Formats: sequence, structure tokens, C-alpha cells
Amino acid sequence: MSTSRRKFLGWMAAGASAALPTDLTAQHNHFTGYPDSYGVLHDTTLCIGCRSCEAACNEVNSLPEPDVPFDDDTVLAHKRRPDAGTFTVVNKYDIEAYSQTPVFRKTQCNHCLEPACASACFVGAFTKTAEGAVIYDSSLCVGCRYCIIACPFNIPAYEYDEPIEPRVMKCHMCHFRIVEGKLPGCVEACPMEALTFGKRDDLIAIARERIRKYPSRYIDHVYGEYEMGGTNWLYITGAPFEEVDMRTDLGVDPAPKMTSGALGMVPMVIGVWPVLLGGAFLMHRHLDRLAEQEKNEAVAEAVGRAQAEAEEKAKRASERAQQEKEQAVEKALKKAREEASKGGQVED
Amino acid sequence: MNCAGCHDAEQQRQIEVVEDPPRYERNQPDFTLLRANNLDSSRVSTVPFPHREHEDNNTTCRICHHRDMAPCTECHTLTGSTDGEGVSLQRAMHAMDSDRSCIGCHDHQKADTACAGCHALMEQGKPSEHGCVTCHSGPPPRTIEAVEDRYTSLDQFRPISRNTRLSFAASDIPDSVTVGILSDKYEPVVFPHRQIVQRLMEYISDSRIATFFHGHEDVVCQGCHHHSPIGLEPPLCESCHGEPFNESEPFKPGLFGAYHRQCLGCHQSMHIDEPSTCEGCHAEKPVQESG
Repeated sequence: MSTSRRKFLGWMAAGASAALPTDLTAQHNHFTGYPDSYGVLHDTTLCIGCRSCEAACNEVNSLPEPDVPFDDDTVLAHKRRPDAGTFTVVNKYDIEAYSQTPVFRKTQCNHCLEPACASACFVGAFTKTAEGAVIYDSSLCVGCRYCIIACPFNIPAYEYDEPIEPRVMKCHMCHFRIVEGKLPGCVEACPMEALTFGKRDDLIAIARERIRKYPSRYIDHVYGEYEMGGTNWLYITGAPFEEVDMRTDLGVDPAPKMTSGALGMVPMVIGVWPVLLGGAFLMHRHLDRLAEQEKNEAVAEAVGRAQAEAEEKAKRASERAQQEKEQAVEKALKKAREEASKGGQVED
Repeated sequence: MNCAGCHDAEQQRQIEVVEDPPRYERNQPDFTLLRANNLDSSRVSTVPFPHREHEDNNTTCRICHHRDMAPCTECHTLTGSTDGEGVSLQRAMHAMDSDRSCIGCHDHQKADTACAGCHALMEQGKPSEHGCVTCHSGPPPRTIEAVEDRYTSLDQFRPISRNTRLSFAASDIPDSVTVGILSDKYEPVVFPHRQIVQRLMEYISDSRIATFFHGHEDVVCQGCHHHSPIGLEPPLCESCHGEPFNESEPFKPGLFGAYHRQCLGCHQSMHIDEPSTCEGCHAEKPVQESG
């Protein structure tokens, strides 16, 4: 008996379905953040677009000098985004329907509770720290830039003009200052306290209190409380979030949850497939061996039977020959005895 | 209801505008004492109500008399009735979220540019807990029959002469205040204190609602010198505002933020475009020659 291709595939399918978890989503426990982790609340209704945060960020991080000085607000005429030499930018939005004065919004890394960049990085160059910041270790980075593609907020940038050791560049919430007990550079510089630094839970309470006290001033939503599973940087605004270029289509699931199902299969593929294929091979071989054995047994039996028959035949032939021989001897003896008795009578 | 409901724009242009429209005469009072219709159950003092002044400040009676021209208390009883759709008298007069209620309508007036400088910084939808008597200054309900029809003006029911006027002499108001918390980077700011007080007073001196509700006391000072007693020497800003992001006082801005939020917040609310740069207030410090 041999194994057909159809049977083989059937076994594989049966094996795979047995190995698959029945409910992938139940496997994922949502991480609600390190307790007492820090964050920043950006209140766009307080921001005056002075760019002090940009200047302070540039200074504390020793970033390259900008093309246009920080006290020149003409750069606000067009929309900008963080790049390899700029961790944060402030953009200006004229939204007459909601505000007579322009609305300013600061952009930087939102420091997701479960960062997409970190989940996409296969060398673990990103770390979500207990302080809340998502930090990057260039010594581990292999330059694949998956993080740049993974980030739903389009934040990480790459040093394309750095030929020797290009790095991924993004805001790190001034983690090195936070652990020293200092404020992030941007927060310290903000004259309006449009950036509030504190524990994430307190920031949510502050945001809610402001919305309660000034209901006509704010949209009743704290951006980042749940977006992408929650972020350590939070926002409240007076204009709808999409009006200030903030994505409202992201949902509340953290990025790793979206990929954990598919990526959860990787260990199975690596670990289970050799076992499965090996098993299939061994089973195949075992069945072949069984068939071989059966065949050998049948052959042996057939040979045995033929031999027995031949022996029987030979035996019978030899018996008959013996019989005939004995009969011939008997006959010859009888004849001799008869002749002898006839001759004796004559002599007598 | 609006003009365009019957007259199109072209027709409207042809209609002569009456500069000083005559009063609608419907036997309405010039002033009255607002009270509940059930005087036995009513406890709060009546409200002297200048009806005529409210006529002058509104284009139509329907702003208040929203369903018919009956007095408020006919439908809005002390505990609410079917006719008043369950809206009690208290709610009809105090609802913050309604344009028809006294306080709801008055609250909207605070959005005026002249008022918003101070009022935009104050919590919304929260009437002053100590302000009840500003309106409820009439005779108590049980004695009202004794005074009914015997008063010729509301002044006797308003013990305080309601007129916003600074009780401090101009010379008592500091002319300028020097703030030097950023003096490591800039020259200290010389804040034109008296000029700002006088400008604020100018803005509101023509407003009847402002002059009435600010009273004679120096309430205007409290626009900036908030959460503290009125006086010639209010507490310093740094008495309350210090380092930012104090976990035990999460809702209070630090000193740096408090100054900027109050100065710039007021300027924004009052549509004062200047100063538009840091140097507008903070004169640059001359670079010191080293050596």
C-alpha cells in the first residue's frame, strides 16, 4: 500500500486545524500602560503657535540648526511634519467654523502604549519604557525601516543623508531628562502650559475637568485615551480632530493586536512544521514498510506451499516407486518359490 | 421667525428702517416683582424685574414669552406642571442651557468681546453661588401684598446702588507692575496695570447688564485677581502659582503658564492682536560683553 498525494494533503490539513488556536483575539491581553507612566497633554485651545517647543526640542536634543529660525512664524504657512532633524513641529490651521483665531497643533511621537514601531522591529531596537516613552537604540537597528511603515502617525524619520550609520529619528519624550527628574524640553519651554506633563491617569483627569469646565470650548473627547490602544501623548481640541490633521479612522485596537494573529503563527510554522512533516514522513515510511512486510510474507508463504507440494509429490512418487519395487521383489520371490516347489516334487 | 420669512432681500431694502421703534403697547408693566404664583409655598425673595429694559434689549417678546404672552408663572409652577412641560419655575429662570431663562440668556452675553476677556477664563455654566441676592432682592413672598402696587420704581428694592464704578481712587490703583520671572532671558516686563483697568472699565461702562451685575464693588479687579478677596492689596500671583505640574494641585497652572494664559487669553478673547511676538511684552536683553 502506498500514500497518495490526496491523502498526504488531507493529513496536513487535519494537523494544521488541530494546531490552530480556536480564538486568536482571546489570546491578546490589551496592555493598558505601565502604572504611573508619564505623558503629555496637548491642549490646542491654549497653543499660540510660538514654536518655543520646537526651539527647546532642537536645543536639548542637539539637533541640526533649522533653515528658518524658530522665531520666524512664516513657516506656519505650510504644513510640516517631523523629519530626521526635527522631532516636533507645530502646524497652523485656519478653521473659521470653530475658531476665530487660528488653531495650532504640535506633532511628535505619541508614545503608544503598545507601539506599532516596536512590534514591527524584529531586532528590538524600540523599547516602551516604564516611564511611558518609546525609545530607540541605534546600536541594534539594522535599517530595515519597518518602523516607519508601521507607525500609524507617520512619525519615525530616517537619516537618508547619513551614509555611514543612518538612524531612525523620532521624539523620545526626552526620556533621558525624565529619568533625571526634569521636564521634556518642549513642555518646559511652553509659555502657555499648552503642554501639561504628568502621569497619564492624571492627564486624563485634567483633560476631562477642562472639558467639563469649558464645554463650549472643547470637543468632548480626549484623543489618545483609546486611539490605537491608547497613547501617552494626549490631545484636546476645540475643532474636530480631523480638522487638525489627526486621524480618526484608527480605531481603538493597538497595532500589535492586528498582527499578533498572523505573527502568532510564526512559532507554529517554525516549531510545528518539522514535527508535522517528520511525522507524515515516518507514517508514510511505516505504511510502506508494512506493505513490504505483507508482500514478503505472501511470497514466503507461496514459496513454502510450492515446496511442500513438490516434496509431497516427490514423496508420493518415491513411495510409489518403493511400493512397485517391493511388489516386483515380492512377485519375483513368489515366482522363484513356485518354481522351487515344482522342481522338488520331481526329484522326490 | 425672521424678516426674510415674508420679505425677500429686495423688498427688505425698500422698507424704511425705523431708527427709534415705538414700544409695543400691550398693557405690560414697566417693572414688576417676579414671584411664584403660589405665595404660600414660595420662600425665596421676589425678583425686581425691569420689564421695559428687557424690551429695549430684545427684538421680540418671543425671546422670553416663547409660547404665548402669559406670565411665566402661569405654566412654570414651583414644582412644574403639565402646561409647563414639567419645567419648574426654578428651572425656567435658571437653566444655563436655555436662551429663554434669565441666567441662560445673561450667560450668553458674556461672550461679547468687551466681556470675554475676563469671562472666557471663568468656568462656564456655573452661576455665582453668592450672587442669588443680586436678583432676589425684592420683598419676601409673604409680605408682597403689603407693597403690591405701592412702589414707583425698583430702586427701593435694590439696596446697593448698582453702578459699576471703582471705589478706589485712580491713584490707589498701581500704575504699573513689574514682572521679572523671565529676567534671565529678557528685560523685566513693565505691565501697564492702571491703563488696563481703566480700559476694561471703559468697555463696560455703557453696558447696563455689566454695570448692574458687577455691582458697585470692585468686582472687575477679580477678572484677574481671582479666587481671593477684593481689596487694595490682593495676594500676589506667586502666592498660589508656583512650579508647574504639581501632582497635588493638578488643575492649577504654574506661574509661568498662569501669566501667559491670563494675559494672552484675555487678549485673544477680546480680539486684541498685539503683541504678536515675545518681544511685544518682553524687551530683549542687551547682550552683555564678556570680559
